[in-house]
Amino acid sequence: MSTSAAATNDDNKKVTLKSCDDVEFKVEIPVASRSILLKNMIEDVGETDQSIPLPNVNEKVLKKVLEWCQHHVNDPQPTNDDDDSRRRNTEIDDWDQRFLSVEQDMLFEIILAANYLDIKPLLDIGCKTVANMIKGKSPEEIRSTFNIVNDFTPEEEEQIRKENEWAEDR
Amino acid sequence: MSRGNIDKSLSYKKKGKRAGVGGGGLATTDELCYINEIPIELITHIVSLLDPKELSTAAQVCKHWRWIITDDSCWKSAFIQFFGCLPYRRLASDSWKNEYIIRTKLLRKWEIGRGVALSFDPRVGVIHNLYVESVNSWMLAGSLEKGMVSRSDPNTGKISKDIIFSTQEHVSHSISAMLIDRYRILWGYKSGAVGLTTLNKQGLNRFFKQFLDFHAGPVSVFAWSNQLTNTVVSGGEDGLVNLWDINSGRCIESLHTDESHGIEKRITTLAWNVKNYIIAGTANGTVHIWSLDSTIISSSDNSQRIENIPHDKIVGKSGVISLHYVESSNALIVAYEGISEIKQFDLKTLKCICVFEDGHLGNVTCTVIDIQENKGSSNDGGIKPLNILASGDSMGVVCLWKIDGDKDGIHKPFRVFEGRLSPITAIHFDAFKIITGSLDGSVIAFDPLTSKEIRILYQRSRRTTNRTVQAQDGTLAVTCIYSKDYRTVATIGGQIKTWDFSSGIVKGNKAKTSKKKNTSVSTPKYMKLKDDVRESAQIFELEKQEYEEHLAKMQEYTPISGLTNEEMLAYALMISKEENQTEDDQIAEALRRSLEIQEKHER
Repeated sequence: MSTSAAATNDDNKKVTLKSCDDVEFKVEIPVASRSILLKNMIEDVGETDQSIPLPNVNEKVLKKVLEWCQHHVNDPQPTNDDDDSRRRNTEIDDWDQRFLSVEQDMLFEIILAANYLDIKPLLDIGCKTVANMIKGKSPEEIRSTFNIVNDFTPEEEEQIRKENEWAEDR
Repeated sequence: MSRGNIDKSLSYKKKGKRAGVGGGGLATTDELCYINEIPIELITHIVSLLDPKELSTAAQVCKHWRWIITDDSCWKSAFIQFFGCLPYRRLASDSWKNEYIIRTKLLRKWEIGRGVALSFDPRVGVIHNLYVESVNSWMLAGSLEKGMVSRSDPNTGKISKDIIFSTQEHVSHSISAMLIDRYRILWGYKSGAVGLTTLNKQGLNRFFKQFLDFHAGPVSVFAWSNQLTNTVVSGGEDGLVNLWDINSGRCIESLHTDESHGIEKRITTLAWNVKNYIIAGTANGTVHIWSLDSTIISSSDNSQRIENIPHDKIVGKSGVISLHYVESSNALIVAYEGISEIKQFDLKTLKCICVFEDGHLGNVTCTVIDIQENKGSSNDGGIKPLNILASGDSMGVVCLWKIDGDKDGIHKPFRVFEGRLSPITAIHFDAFKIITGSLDGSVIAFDPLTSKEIRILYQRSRRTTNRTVQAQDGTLAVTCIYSKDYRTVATIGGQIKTWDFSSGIVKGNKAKTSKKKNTSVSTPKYMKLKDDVRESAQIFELEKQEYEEHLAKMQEYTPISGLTNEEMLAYALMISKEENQTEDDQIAEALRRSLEIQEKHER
C-alpha cells in the first residue's frame, strides 16, 4: 500500500503509522495530530523513523480515518469544554455526512477508532450520525435498523411500556 | 466537566459489574448487530444525544440498552449534552432523569407553547407592589400614588370590586411606601404615619390599624421577616429606622443615622437579619449597620429600650440602590446609584472584600439575590449549590454572578444576557429561568444555563407613538415580576399581564398530575385559532384604549391642540425648567407662553 506514502520528498515532517494488519501509512504530522493520542505520542517521542503501531485499527478503517483528518487538518483544535458550544448541535456538515454514509460495520469501526485515537470531533459526528438513526423511531424500528434482537419477554415488555407511559406525556 | 471524564468514570464503574458487551442484544440473523459490539461508554455517548422521549424509547429496545439507560448517569450526560452545563438549581433532586425531563418540558412549553396571556387594568394607577397567591389563585396589586390595593384573579383577570384602601375612611390617599405579603399590607404615609391592613387567607375580611407612633417625614421603605412576624421595620426620609410591634402599634426601637444637618438622609433600602443586623442604605450613599438581635427587643418590655446598640457605617459616594445580606459568609452586597459595579463588604471588618465588575455596560439599576439554603449537598447530586446575584443595568444588560464568600478580589459575571437597551427595572430568577422587565415595558425570559432567550413575553409594538415620552414617565415600566413553573405575572405601569404555559395540564403539575392525559389535545385546532384571534383582538382593543386614554391625558395637559411634537417638547422643557416656581406662577407663565406659541402658530 503506498497511497499516502507516495510523497517522499518531505519525509522529515511525516510520521509512519502501522495498522493492525501491518500496513504502513506515511502521514504529515499536522494530519496525524488530529488524533490527540498520536499528537501526544509524537510530542513525547520526537522525530523518529520508527513506525507507530496501532493495534486496534485495521488498514481499511485507518485509511478512512486519515481521510477525515486530512480534510479537517485546518480545523481549530477543540478546546476543553468550551462554554460557547452550549446546547447540542445535531447538525453535521455535508462533507462529513457524505464521509459517514457507509455501512454500519464501517461506521462503528470509525467510532471505535476515533475513540481509541482520541479524535473528539470525529467521535462526536459519528455518535451524532448513530443518534440520528435512532431519533424518531419506535423500539421495533430501532431494532430492525441495528439488527438488535428483542430479548424482552412479553411480560417485561408490557411492564416497560407502562413505566414509560408517564414520560410520553411530557 | 468534560464528557471524557464522565465516559471514563462510567466505563470504570461498569466494567466491574459487567465484563462483556452486547450479550443479550446480539442478532442471530445473518446480519450482525454492530452497535452492541461497541463499548458501553460509546453507547452511552450515543444515547446521551437523544431527547428525553427518545431516550425512554431507546430503553425499550433490548435488555442491554435498558440496562445502560437505567443508569442515571446516562441521563446526566444527556442533560450536559443538551444544556452544555449542569444546573445551578435542581428542579428535581431525586434523579437526573427527572431533571432532564422536567427541564426540557418546561423549555419546550415556554419556547413554543401558545401560552394563555391576559392583560387587564386593576384601576389603581401605576402598580408598585405585587403579591401572588398561586395556590388559591388570587393576587394583590398595590399603587403608591393612590394608596390602594386591588385584588384580582391571575387565571381569569377578574378584578375584585372592593378595593383595599390605605385609610380608615376608604378613600384614595397617596402614600410613600408599601409592602404586601400573603396576609398583610403595610402602608407608609407621607405624613410619617404607618398603617397595617390584615387580611384573612383568601385575601378578604380585612382589618385596618393605624400605628401609634410616627416618622418625622415621609416613610420610604419597609422590611419584614418570616422569622419574626409580630415586628416590622421601617425607614423614613427623616433618616430614622424604626422597629414596630404590630400588636401594640408602637415603635419599640428607633435607630438614628446621626447624619449631620443638611445631608440627604432618606433611607432608600433595608436589609433585616432578625438575629444579627438591621442594615439601612441611604440616599447619600452611607450604609448603616446596627448589630442587634431583634427578637430580644420584640420580646422585652416595650418601655425599656436597649441602650448603645453597636452602630457602624460604610460610606459610599452615591445613593444606595439595594442591600443584600449573605448570612453564610456574613457579607453585605451593596449596589450604588450611577455606577456599573457592585461591592461586597465583610461585616466583621467593614472592608470591601470583592467587586462585581466587568459585566455591565451601564449603571446598575436593579439587583436580586438567590441564596441556596444549606441543606447538605448530598441530595443534590454532588453539585455545590451556588449563591447567585442577578443584576440589571441601564443598558438592559443582565449579569449573573456567583457569590462566593471565600474568594476575594474581582468577580466577573458567569452569564451575561443582552437586553433591549432599555434600563432593567425588575428581575425574576429561579431554577429554570430568569425573567427581566425593563423601563420600556418589555418582559423577556432567558435560560440561565445556555444564556439563550427563551421567549419575549411582552414587547411594546412600534406603532405606539409617544413611546419615549411614556418611557420617560416610567408609566410603562415593568415594576414587578412573579413567576412559578408555567405561570408568570408582571405589572407594567398600571397594567397587569399574566402568562400561562401549562396549556391544559391540571394545576399543580409535576410528575404525578401529568400522568393524566393532556386535555387540550382533544380540542380541535380551529377552537385554538379562534381563541388566538379573540385574544389578540382583546389585546389590540386594550392597547387602543390605552392609547386613546393617553392621548386624552396629553390633551388635558396641552392648552392648544394641533402642536407638532417638537413644539410639545419645547413646551414640556419650558415647564420643567420652571418647576421651582410656585404653582400659580407656573400656571400663569404657562398660559402666557402657550398664548405666545399659539400666536406664533397662527402667524
